[in-house]
Amino acid sequence: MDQFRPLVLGSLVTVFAIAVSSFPSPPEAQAIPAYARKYKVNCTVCHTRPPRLNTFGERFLENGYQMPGTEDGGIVGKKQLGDLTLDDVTNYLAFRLRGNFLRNFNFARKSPGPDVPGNPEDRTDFGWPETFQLFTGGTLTTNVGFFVDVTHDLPAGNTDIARGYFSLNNLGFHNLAHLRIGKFDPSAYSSFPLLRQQLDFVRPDVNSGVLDRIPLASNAFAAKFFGLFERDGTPIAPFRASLFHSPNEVGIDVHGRPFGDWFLYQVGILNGANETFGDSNNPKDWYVMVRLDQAESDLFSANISGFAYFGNNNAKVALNNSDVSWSQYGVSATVRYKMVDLYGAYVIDRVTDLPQALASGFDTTASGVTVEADVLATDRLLLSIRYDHLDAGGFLAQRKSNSLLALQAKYYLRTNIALFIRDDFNLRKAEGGVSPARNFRNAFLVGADLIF
Amino acid sequence: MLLRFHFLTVILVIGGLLVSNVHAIQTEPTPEIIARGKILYDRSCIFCHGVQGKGDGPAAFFGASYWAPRASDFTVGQYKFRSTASGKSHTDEDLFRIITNGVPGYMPPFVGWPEEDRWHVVSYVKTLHSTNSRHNEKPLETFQIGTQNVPLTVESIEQGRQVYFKFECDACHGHNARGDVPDFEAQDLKDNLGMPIRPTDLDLTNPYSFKNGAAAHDIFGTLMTGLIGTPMPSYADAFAQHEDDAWHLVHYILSLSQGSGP
Amino acid sequence: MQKFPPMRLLSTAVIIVSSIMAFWVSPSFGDSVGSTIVGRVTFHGSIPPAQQLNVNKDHDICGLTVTVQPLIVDESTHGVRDVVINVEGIESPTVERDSGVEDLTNKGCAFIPRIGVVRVGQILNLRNEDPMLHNTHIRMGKRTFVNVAQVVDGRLIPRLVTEPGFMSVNCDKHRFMQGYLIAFDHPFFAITDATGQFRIEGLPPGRWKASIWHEILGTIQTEVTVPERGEVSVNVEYPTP
Repeated sequence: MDQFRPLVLGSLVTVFAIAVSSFPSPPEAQAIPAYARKYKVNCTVCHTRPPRLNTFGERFLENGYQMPGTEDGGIVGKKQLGDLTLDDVTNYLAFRLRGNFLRNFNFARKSPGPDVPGNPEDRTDFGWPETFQLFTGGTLTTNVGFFVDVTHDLPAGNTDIARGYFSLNNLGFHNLAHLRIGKFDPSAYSSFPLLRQQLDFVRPDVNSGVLDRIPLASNAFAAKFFGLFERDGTPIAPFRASLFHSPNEVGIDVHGRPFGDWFLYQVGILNGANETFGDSNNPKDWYVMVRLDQAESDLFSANISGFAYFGNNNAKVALNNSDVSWSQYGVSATVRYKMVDLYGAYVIDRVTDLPQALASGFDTTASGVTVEADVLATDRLLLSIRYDHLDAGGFLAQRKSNSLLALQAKYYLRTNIALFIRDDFNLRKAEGGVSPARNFRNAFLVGADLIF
Repeated sequence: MLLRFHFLTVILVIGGLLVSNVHAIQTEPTPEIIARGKILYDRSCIFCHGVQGKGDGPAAFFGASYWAPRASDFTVGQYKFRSTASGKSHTDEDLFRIITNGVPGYMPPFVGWPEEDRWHVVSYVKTLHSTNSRHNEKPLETFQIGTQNVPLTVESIEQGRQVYFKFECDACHGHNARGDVPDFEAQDLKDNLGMPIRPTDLDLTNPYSFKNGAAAHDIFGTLMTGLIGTPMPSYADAFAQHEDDAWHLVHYILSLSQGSGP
Repeated sequence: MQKFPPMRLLSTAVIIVSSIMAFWVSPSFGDSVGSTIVGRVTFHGSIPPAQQLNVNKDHDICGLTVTVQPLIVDESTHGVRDVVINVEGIESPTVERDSGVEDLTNKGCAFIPRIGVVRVGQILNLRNEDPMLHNTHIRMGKRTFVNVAQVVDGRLIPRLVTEPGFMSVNCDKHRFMQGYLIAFDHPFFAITDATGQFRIEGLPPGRWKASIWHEILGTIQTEVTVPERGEVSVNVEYPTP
């Protein structure tokens, strides 16, 4: 089979290329999802290409879904008068469907084998979509907004309110303070927000509770520790996005740019990592982020963010009843010039209050790096490359660091409808071993991402 | 003294009246007004238009990327969407109208700003014009849109269709008004910045193509003024003394996209 | 002050001013009209082959290709046609509205003249003598002087020239059509005729800078000394590349 793989992949690439090139030059995308509909503009006014935001889109988000510099309530034309009606629904609703048509995974060592846990097999399968997200959000009136993201995960078969929050904006004076309360992504305003990546998260393969394949995700944002548990005893996957870079934590936070466009602050308090409503007796986690911006002219912008997330009795270490505190510190940065969008993050995670008995066998510090470059080669073709490195922590016997390289070509039929072809390589496959982090060799994916 | 066209012997300054929700309330720009305009400009406009108004803001590339239109370069001091003759400067009302309504697809409307603030931004934007483009010390001639006397009828639409071909609108907009020009690439249509014009930009059946507005008086205005910086010329002289023909053509164009205006 | 575009700027050292000759004329002539320079611009080098440009539409009228030869040299005199001479730096009254009129005509899928010179304050009459639509699109850098549709049998379109500058003349419908229009805010300019001759009158005495521009031979600069009265001859030889 192995000798056929290049042939199979080659022909798939060819089919993809033919399919893409045979599309007639379609009419340009017009205003599609909710905010674009509301303001009668193309997606690219706010996005470099969805889901990445450009500088204008970042300020729109920060201003509570109002045009930067305004407190317009996101209400245009006749909606200045009267109540919101059913006519306005399309200005508040959007959905996103994404997933891979084809997934091909390869492993260094396959089962069955006495030394290989689980059941990793080279496999190719088809299917689409993998996630369906329904968004509703926007402004209810001047400086009052909300956002809800209901995500249905098709392979897992569950539906969650992935995010949902209420916002009050421009408290005090313009851009002094914007408040979010609810379930949100803390990193939304940083230089590298978790949920704004061109290379989508690829779920892990888990069979009968055993991890066959690691997920393909940004290592900088991962939990990074092997052997960490939530306070209720649920194991925390080392590759899951966590703490400041969690996709959804419950709490309250405030951000603003009180001194002008060059400086942004953010402070927040969360119930605690993975702690939902009602777990109020536990000490809270809190975080602070500052970001410096340069965004004036020459088709250029740059920004850098530094954050510290202070965990407070927010996790456990295996078989131990006392809580540990898991914190996160990091920097991220973005540079954009013309068609190039370069961004990266370096994040350190640290566990404190570790019981003395475990100290010798547990590495309390871990770090991760993610660097991505997106280049808009033509109006429709976005090329991306991402490097991920995880210097894992946790139990020395279990932990495995890994490094991944991912390449992607994304073809936008319209600015809101993209087909992509992607390959992820494990840069440390040569080191071998039965750990899922090493055993995984390569992933080849073809998929589509639709946002309406 | 500016040139006068014979057919426009009576000129009304109507720039601001192109759109009904635009009211002309202007005050002389004091330093305070300009300072206030700059604050708003720096918060909202620089992301596309750049801090000096060169159209080189950090988000300007992504709007249309490799195609027209890019964000306006205010230092040039000429605007596509005006009420004045081709090559002439704009009126303050022209700027106010675009800030208020935006440009479908590319610039959001800033109607959310109080009217006074929009005028402050107009005052500030004018300070970004290079000195040789500040022509508005003299009264400008604007096109009289006024009331049209040509009723919208089937006959008028048919006459407009004939005008469409007589004046060779199809040379760029295509036989079916969808930008369907044979060998479009050879046409090599570009704007003043060298950005290519797409067939979709010329599609008159899609109301989003009407970046100067899709209402009858907007289309009439576009025919008369042309769109500076693009290949679209002014037809004011062509329609001189036959303004009814312009209205017939407006009716034909409207008939191509009726009912789906932005 | 009109400046030519910086392309092909040759150093003043390479200009050959073959003769500068001033002679007094009878005082009864032109006490008040200043002096005159006359001369000829010549070129002895080889002439590059004419450009063949593809016609993108209206083949029945414009043909399949057009031939463009920007360098026209008179065989007997070696005089170069369509060279623009500009004597710079002379104070002259601003003219808001000159009585002069210049024509720019679309004819045979070409602009006539291909190289036009005009003074600020003059009227430029835009005409179309072809049996189809042209659009005359005149630009100065990023600024547009005019972009008007010229329909079949349309009337002439007069435009007042208000700014000096070097302008490109195009028709967006016919990309192969190209012309230039140079506007001056003073009267001390001329364009050479078919034998390369030019004449500029009414110059005040002094040493003045002169720019000499040709579409493909480029720009050269020199100085001319103008006497109190009379006529001075300035002959310019474009260097052979």
